[in-house]
Amino acid sequence: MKKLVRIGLKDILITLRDVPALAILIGMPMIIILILGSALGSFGGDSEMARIDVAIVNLDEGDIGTEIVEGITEGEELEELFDTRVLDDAEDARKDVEKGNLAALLVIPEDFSDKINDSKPVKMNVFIDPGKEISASIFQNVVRSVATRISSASIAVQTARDVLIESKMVADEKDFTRHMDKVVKEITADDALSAIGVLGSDVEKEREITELDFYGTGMTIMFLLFGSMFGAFSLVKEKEEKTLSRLLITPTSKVSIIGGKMLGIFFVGAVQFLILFLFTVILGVYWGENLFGVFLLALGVLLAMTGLSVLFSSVAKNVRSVGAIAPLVVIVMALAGGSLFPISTMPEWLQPIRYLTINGWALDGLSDLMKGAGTNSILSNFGALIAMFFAFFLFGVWRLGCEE
Amino acid sequence: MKKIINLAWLNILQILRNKGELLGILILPVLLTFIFSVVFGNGAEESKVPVIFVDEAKTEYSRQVYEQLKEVDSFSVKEDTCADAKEFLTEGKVDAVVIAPDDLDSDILAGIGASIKVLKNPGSTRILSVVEVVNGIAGRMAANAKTSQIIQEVVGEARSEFESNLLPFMPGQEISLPQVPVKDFPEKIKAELSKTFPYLQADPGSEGLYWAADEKWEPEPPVSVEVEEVIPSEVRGESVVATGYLQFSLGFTVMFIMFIVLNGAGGILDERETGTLSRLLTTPTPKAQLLMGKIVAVFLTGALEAVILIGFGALVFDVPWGRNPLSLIIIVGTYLLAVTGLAVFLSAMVRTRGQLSAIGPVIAVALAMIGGCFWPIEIVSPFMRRLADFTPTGWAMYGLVDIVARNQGISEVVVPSLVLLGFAVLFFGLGIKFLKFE
Repeated sequence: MKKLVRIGLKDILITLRDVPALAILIGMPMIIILILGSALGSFGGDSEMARIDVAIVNLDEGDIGTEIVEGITEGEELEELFDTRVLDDAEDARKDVEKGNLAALLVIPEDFSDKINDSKPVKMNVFIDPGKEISASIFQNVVRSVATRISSASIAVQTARDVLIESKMVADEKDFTRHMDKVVKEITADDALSAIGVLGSDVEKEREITELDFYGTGMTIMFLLFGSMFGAFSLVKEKEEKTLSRLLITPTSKVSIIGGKMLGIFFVGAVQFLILFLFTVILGVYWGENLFGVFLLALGVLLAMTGLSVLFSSVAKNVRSVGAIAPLVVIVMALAGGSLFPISTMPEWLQPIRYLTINGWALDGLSDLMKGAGTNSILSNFGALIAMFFAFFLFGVWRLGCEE
Repeated sequence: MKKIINLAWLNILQILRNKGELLGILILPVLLTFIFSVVFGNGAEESKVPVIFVDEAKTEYSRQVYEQLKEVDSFSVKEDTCADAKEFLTEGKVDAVVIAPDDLDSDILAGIGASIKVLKNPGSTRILSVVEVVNGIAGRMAANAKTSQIIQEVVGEARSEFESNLLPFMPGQEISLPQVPVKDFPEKIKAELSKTFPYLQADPGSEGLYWAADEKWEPEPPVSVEVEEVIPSEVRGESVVATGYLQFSLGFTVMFIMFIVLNGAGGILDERETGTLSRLLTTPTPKAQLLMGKIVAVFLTGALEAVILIGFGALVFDVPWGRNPLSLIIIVGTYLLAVTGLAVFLSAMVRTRGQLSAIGPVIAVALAMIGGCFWPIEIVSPFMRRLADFTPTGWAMYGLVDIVARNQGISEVVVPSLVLLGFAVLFFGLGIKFLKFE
């Protein structure tokens, strides 16, 4: 046992002296999480999106088209969001969208006002750049809400006309126009359509998991797994440089050697986790209230990672093979386990593959914790991680045994 | 030249003989392309956005929300209880939960504010469309309610005008009525008049007005929005247009090419580490040729990887790669050069192969993020966008988005490919300058 701890300590010292390894284990994830933070804009003040380039071509001969243009170009909020140009030639403007110079283009057709006044259905055309789907969809939403407003007005007028004529208290169409102004004015008032609001999930008093939380935790787990690669390096090196056989000649058991190495790997991983955890907390990543649960899951991940390093060193003949296999395995696990994109984007039948990965079990548990789950609900995740540790470890030791 | 080719061939064989690397180069990309095409490709059309509707109000109005949600083709809507819905959301099985709370009742006719709640799965990229649809539904319902309210008022005004007028108009009847305001008529006559004038005494029912207004939204609302993705006129209608989650499949391709190239670059350091380099240098092969051979091998491995990723996706899974293969080749080729240069540069910066293997994937992930491989570059802050201009991944993405998403021709790839070439020259220059070959 004493030997085991000594070997572990020696390996820890070696890793701590290896500046590039430290940089990768701790520096790089920090940089990436920082990038994520500023890219996704959850800290460091409001890092707003750049204004979206859009254009309007108004071919309408009536007034409504002009009102729409004014509404979109003069609203203060919209001005912050869009850099709107008013153009004359629809074909030219379309070409600009095609080239990616404009994210979206609104074309108001010639007979727009006429048709609305005649209560005939009419379409506004929005052309969007498939290369800027998100920006385009923001503009699309604005145009849709404008369309809903005009539709509301038109429907209010039509319904009012029907009802008043039915009441016979208004003599005819001409008599009705006296009332129409009032209808239009009221339905197009700023708060007219606020009777039914749409509330986001924030009213639920549950903390919403932000993208920063998602990537912060996902990346931390992914980089913890990179630790297995360094562990495997150190194991394989002893094999490659034949120092292992030398060590084995000394009265040191194989168990102490492998155990010591694993202890070293585990400890380095633990330090890495603590640093990344503190770092992400400072950046505003929310890990949930249940810190015990978080550390329990981290323990599971670290153990599974340690097992993985034994597995790597058993299947790889040399450092070169470890270098080829380990990062790929880590990245694939990250992909399938939801470290790089949310599981819910996968089709339902494919989602269970996350349970083949360390990331999947860990992130599953972490997201439960973020939503306020108790320790009990993540015990199965912890159990699965421990099971993975044993599976990797036993298989690795078995393979290593075969080699001797 | 022949020697370089021979050396390159030798190095490729070395890479391919290593089972781990072979796995990484052949099997993994195929697997990934499979996953991408299932997750993000054309198959994704089948995966509708799962939405759960929770009806707490159980009124006509909440049913209306449900009916209209169901009409959206791209959603698959199920009704469930609130507790279950939240659990599904937590497990990430649904993108959104739409809740019609208790207050969604006849109060909305009186203009008392009500709300529809949307609980979002924060990881979902499709949440925007759900919110948009719910906004549309809320807008329509609010408009109906407001219309009903306004009409009540207008009818009230018309009535008081009518009542105080001297001469009510009686269509089709020649009876001359007394010259007094209607409101002064005896109750009996008023009741009689009500038969002809339906709203003389009672207001039209606000609920009836609500549904009368609602009918007018069908089959199409007075003003609708037609959205069209713009693709170049000369290919309209014939080429496969990339849809949906194209971003991811382009981005991950870009990332994986870099990943493989940086990994393969370990070979440059191999001989130095094992000491075979000094032996090789005693042969009449110049140092430069040795190095060239290795670099060519790394480049070709990356090219093989790219061909597998793109070809497999295109042939087997119908992943659209734009209409012009040449422009695709130019972009991918120059990107490969830039990345190979980066590999040489990194080889010069590290001491051992192990360090390179370790730093490679991390650099690939970092550059992929900054370059906009993981999420669209359009959503990030202006500063981050500027940063993307300094990465080869960023320029590869610009080029690929132009030729694949926008279906542009060869003229659009000139700038990105020149920039990528610039990266290549810079990295090669620095790399060869600092590479300690002995």
